[in-house]
Amino acid sequence: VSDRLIITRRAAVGLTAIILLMLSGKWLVDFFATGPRSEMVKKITGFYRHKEDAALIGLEYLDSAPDEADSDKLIDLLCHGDSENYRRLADADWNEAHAIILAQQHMDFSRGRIVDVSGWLLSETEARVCALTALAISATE
Amino acid sequence: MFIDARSVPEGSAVSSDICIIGAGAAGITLAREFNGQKMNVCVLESGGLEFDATTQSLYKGENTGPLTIGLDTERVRYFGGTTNLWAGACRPLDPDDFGARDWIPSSGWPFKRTELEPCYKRAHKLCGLGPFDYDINDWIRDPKDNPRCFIPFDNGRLATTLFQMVPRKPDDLRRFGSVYRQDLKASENIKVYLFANVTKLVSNDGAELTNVTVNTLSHNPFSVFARIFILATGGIENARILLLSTDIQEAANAYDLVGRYFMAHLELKNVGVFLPSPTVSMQYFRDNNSDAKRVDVGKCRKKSINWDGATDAVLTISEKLRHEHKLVNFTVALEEFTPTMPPAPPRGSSLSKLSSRSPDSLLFHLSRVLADSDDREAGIAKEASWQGKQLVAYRLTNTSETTPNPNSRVTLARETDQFNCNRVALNWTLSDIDLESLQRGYRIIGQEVGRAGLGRLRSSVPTRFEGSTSKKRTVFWSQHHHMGTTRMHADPKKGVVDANCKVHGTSNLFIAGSSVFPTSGCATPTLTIIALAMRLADHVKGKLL
Repeated sequence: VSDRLIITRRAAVGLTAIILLMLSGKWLVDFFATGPRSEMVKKITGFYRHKEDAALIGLEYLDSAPDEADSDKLIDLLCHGDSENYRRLADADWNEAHAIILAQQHMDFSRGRIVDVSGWLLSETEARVCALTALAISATE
Repeated sequence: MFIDARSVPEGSAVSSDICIIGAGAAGITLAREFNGQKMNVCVLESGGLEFDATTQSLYKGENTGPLTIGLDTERVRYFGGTTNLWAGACRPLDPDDFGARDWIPSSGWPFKRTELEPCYKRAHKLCGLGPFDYDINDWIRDPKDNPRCFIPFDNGRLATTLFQMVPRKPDDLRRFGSVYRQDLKASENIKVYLFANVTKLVSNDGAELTNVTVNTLSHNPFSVFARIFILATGGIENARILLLSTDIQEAANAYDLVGRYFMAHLELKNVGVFLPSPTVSMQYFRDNNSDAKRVDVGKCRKKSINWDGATDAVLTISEKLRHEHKLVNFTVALEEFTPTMPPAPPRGSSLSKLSSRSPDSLLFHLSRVLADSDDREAGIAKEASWQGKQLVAYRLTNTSETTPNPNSRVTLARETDQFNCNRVALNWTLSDIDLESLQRGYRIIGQEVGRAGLGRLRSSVPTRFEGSTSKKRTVFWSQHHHMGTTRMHADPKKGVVDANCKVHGTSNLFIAGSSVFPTSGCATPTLTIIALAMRLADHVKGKLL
């Protein structure tokens, strides 16, 4: 086996390892830094005391956005796909988490991030929190 | 003096300095302005002093367009004109209604509102209104003094504006035909001919009117000669009489503009719902909604407002925001309703067993969700303030400007009336921007009430236009305000009358009334009609005296 072949094989193994590490990195960071996502779902859906009311609004929203009917996707969307936002929400206690959601709702309205749920003009965040609540209730049935 | 035109000998000629055709808001205002002046004035009114079905039937016509109006029900044909039906809500056009807006084709008046303001103030006096001031902050006391006076929509982006209502007591000042009857009857220089229908404007050279042909239902045609003629028969009839008058077609209608650009304020009932946050006081609007509580609204009035008439408050978008988003002008009336609040879904309910979903049921679900958000905001863990009580929400009714559209027009129908004159045909058409702008506008209101923490809004502005017929009335309604058919513009290629309301191409024919409005704004038009009539009277007096 020539030296060139050995070098090529080692480079390929190294590259593969790097790619695998990159792919698993986000999950690893998320898992070790914040714990499982189910905790996150509980924290977010705890925002509304009237969960059944929120869930019905959430179902209405999901009718118009069926591609969002996935808890992980909704959490990513609620964090705007930003790992920093995710970490902040994950690290927050319940009260802090609710303050974050409320602030984000207000920011949605300021920036025009509103959705039409059967004519009702809601912030993207509140519609998605409601949708997450609907999925969480459905999952327990 | 009042004269029954049916008693005038057939073929006779009446002479006057000024001939006013029509005795509605504009015609009576003009006549009052000329009362006691050194000029003879002749007022020609189609009807008598009371309603008469045969005379009223002269207004019958044909709706040929996708939207219809009640041609013989939205206008009134007897002394006093349509003020006989007037609700009495007054507001001037907004300053930007007079300007050219690049997103509204053919917009812009030949003068600014400041030019009309002295006449607006005179019109206020005539109508018994309060100060010429429509800024809510100048009217309403600080809510710190009285929490009932809190105005939720007043943050520089959303605004609350007022309509002043013409007093009904001791005299009903809305009814010009009753209130000013005695003045005109006693006048020494004014003769009012009742039952006198103008069928034609006559000119020898096509530019200067010599006389008008008058007829009555008793068929005794006669002529009225004058130095100056003022057509004041309303937003539709002004155009019809011009179109019927072949002698002046070449001059007055050289650019085929007469009858075009018909506009009417568009009313959309139940165009949305406003659900206030539980922590937001809507007391002022609640009081404002209730006739019985108008006195409470009065208690919110600043002492500097030395007027005890009624007002109506409506929601609107600030001029800045309207321009930023290139919107038409519109106002939103809020009507309180109290649907019965069903109990909250039991905790742990199966979603599939919960009540069926609908926009109405969403109102209840959203009210509880919104209360949860508010609690968080306030940092107080409490049940929703209306838990177990009645939910209060507000239905929205829109009144909006419709934009000038040359295809929206009055023409002559084939059918003729009792005088063998063609009846009117109306093709009322909207432009795409009219609805599209409202959809965006309501979305902006929804955004703004959310941003300000006032609540949530449901918009149901139709996404497309559907016509209304006698069989099927849609959400689209005319507000009985007919405008634009003899529009005002300095350029004869773009308007029928000039800035002084003189018909282009003629020397002595003027037009009064809402037919001269180049754009409609969203304010009720009568105050502007009166102010313009006063301005025209000043101009005519300057010419004759």
